[in-house]
Amino acid sequence: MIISLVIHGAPGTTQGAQTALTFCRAALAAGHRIYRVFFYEDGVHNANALSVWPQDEQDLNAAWASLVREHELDAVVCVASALKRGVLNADEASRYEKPAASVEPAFDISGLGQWVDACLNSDRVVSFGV
Amino acid sequence: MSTLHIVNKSPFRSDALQRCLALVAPGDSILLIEDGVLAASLSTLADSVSGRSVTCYALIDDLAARGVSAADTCIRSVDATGFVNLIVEHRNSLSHG
Amino acid sequence: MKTLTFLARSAPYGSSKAKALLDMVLSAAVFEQKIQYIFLDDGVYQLLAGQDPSSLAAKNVSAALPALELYGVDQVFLDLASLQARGLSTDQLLIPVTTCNAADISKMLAASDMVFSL
Repeated sequence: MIISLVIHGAPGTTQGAQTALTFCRAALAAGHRIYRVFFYEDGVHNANALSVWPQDEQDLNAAWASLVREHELDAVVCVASALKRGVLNADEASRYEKPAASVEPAFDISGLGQWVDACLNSDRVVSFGV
Repeated sequence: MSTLHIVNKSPFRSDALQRCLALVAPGDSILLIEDGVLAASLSTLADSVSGRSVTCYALIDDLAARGVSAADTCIRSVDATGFVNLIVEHRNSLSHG
Repeated sequence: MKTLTFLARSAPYGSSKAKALLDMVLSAAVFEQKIQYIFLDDGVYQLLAGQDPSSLAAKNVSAALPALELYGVDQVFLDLASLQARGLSTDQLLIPVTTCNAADISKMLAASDMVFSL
């Protein structure tokens, strides 16, 4: 089955992003196809490559980046949510004259159209961290 | 034609479970995750769905993390694979905020 | 075409949820999907006429409501019990909506491909 995820929660604040990660791994292990993981609102913080976690905690940002790379997942952060929260790629950092790019390069920054596209092309869409 | 209702809030801090119970239809299921599993040890949830053809589940990792048991209720424990299976088995899912 | 159902359950301004769900609805409308937009619980406050968040430096979420029909979002519902529980009546609302009850919402959920609630 083709499944997409929408993640609303920031890592380390609420449990939703962790629940989504575990769900995503289980779905892949069961042979399902993950069409897209869409990060919305505070969920975009999961794609921040500049976060540094304490050594005795699981680095959720790194865990997402590693899952996305390993399975070549289509991971998209909502551009409107991301810019507001300082999750920028190099192009946007330059365009808005900000000192650094912060998005994990394995993630794409795009619009809500990508979420609609996920709805149209998936059998199921599951929301986490609402 | 059924919905998987996902509840992630404590029944003592939020009315998400109550709102879920108001919308749940015969053939639907309820999955308690995160702080939602705090409802798993209560008889009130079981009483609410009794006779309504609604099955209740709770995510086992969230129960274990909180030291909460669903053993005395009709709530079934599922792991992450069970969660995925529930998503597959239901036509849609509703994450109650 | 898919049937997407949106449950607006949060009051405006205290959080970004009302705006976030509205943005999802408008995006889905651009793709010409069948949309059911249902206001219930505290979400009924989103429909109240006379909202003025100018002193909060917040956008008026209700400003987009009259344009919903232009976007093709013509199935807008209101849970009457939620409205009444808050001491409100339909004549206080900014746009005309179809009233419904919990049983109607359950039926709409059953006929949905995907459901989003904020």
